[in-house]
Amino acid sequence: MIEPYAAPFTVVMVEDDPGHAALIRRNLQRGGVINPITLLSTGTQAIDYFFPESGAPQDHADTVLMLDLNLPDIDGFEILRRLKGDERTKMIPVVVLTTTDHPKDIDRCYALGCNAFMTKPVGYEAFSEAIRKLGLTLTVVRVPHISDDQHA
Amino acid sequence: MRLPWGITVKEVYLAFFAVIAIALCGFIMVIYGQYERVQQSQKYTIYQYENIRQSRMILSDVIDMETGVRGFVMSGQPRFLEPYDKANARLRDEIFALRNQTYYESNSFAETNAWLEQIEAIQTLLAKQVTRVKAQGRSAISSAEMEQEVQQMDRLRTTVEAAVDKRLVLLRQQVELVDRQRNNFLYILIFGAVLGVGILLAGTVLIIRLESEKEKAEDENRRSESRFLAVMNGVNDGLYELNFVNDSMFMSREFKAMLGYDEDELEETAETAINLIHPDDVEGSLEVRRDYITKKTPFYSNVFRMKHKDGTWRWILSRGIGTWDKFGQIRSLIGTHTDISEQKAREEDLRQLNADMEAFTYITSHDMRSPLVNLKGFSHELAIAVHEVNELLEPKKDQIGAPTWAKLETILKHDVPEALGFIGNAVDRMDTLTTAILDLSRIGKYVYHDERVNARDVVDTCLGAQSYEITNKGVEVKVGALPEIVTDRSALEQIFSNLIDNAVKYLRSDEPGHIEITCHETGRDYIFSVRDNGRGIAPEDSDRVFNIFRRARNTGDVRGLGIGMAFVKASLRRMSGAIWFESALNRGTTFYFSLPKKTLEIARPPAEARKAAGTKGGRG
Repeated sequence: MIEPYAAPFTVVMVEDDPGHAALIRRNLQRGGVINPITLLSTGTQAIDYFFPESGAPQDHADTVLMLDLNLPDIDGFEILRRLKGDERTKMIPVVVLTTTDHPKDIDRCYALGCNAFMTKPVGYEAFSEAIRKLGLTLTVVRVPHISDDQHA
Repeated sequence: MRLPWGITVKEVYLAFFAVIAIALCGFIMVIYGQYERVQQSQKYTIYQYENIRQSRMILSDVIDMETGVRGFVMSGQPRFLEPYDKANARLRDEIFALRNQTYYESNSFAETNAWLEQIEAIQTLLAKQVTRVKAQGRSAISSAEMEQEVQQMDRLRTTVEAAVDKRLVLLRQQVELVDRQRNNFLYILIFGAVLGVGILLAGTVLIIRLESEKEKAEDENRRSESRFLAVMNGVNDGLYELNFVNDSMFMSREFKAMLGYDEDELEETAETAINLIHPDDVEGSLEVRRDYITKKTPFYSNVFRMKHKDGTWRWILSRGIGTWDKFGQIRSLIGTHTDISEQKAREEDLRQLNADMEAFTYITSHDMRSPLVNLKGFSHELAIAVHEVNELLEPKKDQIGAPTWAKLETILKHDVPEALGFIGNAVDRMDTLTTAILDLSRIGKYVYHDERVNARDVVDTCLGAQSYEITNKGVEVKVGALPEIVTDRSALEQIFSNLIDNAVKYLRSDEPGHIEITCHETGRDYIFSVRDNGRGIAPEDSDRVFNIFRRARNTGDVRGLGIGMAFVKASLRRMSGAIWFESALNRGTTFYFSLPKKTLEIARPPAEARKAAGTKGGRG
């Protein structure tokens, strides 16, 4: 039996809609995720967070990113592209959580290297269920990528 | 007039001329022959008359001599001898002349000789008498001698007259012959004239016909050319002929006018045209032309921009036909320029509209959903909160007091949940509508994949999906013979599924349902029909049936959004099909839809992105 809360990790949520952010946060907590959740409400903030202009690069080994696609400034695709294009950040698991279910968007995200794509259901039950399951998944499944030394 | 054996008009003229020339020569020869004959017969006549005259003169001289001698004998006067001497002197020459004349006429030569003997005998007789009378006097001549003389004279006369008569007969014969010949000649003349006129007439008619044919052909040519010009002018297409041998380029007036130039303003070279092409299009358009010149592409159709005199760019569609020499080297390209700027502008509009539409559907799918997530989420959070409040208050019920508690209970257990319920429903509906709009918009993007589809299988699948409803309502379903067709399977499935779903959904509750699915073929289509004995569609509603979010008014009791038929109609339009219906209120409805007959050869290759947005929805 895997101990679900054994590994502490940080959830970083990029979400411009504060309502959505609040709902996700609540449902994650109801789903058992008690880890710290960092909310970034614009694309610029997200880029600054992962690629600070000054200071030493942070260690994001224990970070899970929940990314919305529609952001007012820098959109989710761009953030995803930069994260997955950079050696330091490409191991961060990215779950795209967005309202669109446009096939083109889904394909594009996977092409850019996202680890999971979730559509925010409008129905509350479905939504909270999905988030809770995501929370569970996050606690169990860590980084689904080949280890650094092998790949680099 | 078409001439057989490949004879040309020129040859006909030559042949006609030869015939006339030959006929003319023949005619002239006939006339000349006749002339010769006339001449000959004339000579012959003269010759005969001359003979007759000569014969008569000889005879009359002989008579003169005889008369002179008789006179001399009877009178003794020498004066009577004068005619005798004269005639005697003449006679010799005359006889010789006659002999010479008739030298070639053997029997008359002999005849003449016979005369000569007689005449000589008479001469001798007369000369003897004259001598005797001169010597012995008038009595020296006995009556016997006289008698002999008369006899000899008579014989000579008879002989000469016979000869003359014979000649006269010959002459008459000759005249008759000449007469006959003259008649023949007349006939020949008449015949020749008729023949000549006939040939001339035939030839003239032929020439006139040929000429009028030619004129007609020329006329036709002129007309077709003027038609061509009229069309070219009418459609305002420019004409060009690009000569690859010397790089010259004929440009019609319209060609230049299309770019705002007058007829003498553009130098007619290939370079001029290329210089006018938009720099971004030069490479591409030359590439297209090269592909045609090297016969990589069977048709020449090129689209590029050209600079108008006013500085604007015009979209030009250039189409043409090339001619190659026997070495496969291009010689010329003849074609037209069409100004398609307007089409291009419309295309651009359309593209813009499509882009807008795409943006719109994207916004619908994303941005319009976002607030709904909040509405739904927080109304649920509110419900949880109210529930918690209720639970927190419950133990303090007594402290609050009954009247207040009752009020609180109404608010917390009735009013708030009701309000939240309405919000929830509205959000659900909103979500369904945006999903429907999105689905409908995606039909346009769906790539149809044609394959052989057994319509019967498809219908069975759809009926299977509805089997619960069908069994529950006790609906009798009849399926006729359905063909195997070439179409997109999932699209056909959605169409049938919507139609069967509607047929089952809108049956009347008071009557057992009958649904019948059939198909019949026309020359180019399959026409499927789905007939039910349900509630029918009122005529006033017939327009609403295929409109999105609209439903017939007698469907209020059945849940539905009014998407299904709009979806079916849009799908069929994309599949080059059509849909229509016949209906009577409370009697039933028959929906027909047609799909074109296709073969797999022209079917599109399977597309990778096969994403159909399928919905099942309410009628109308």
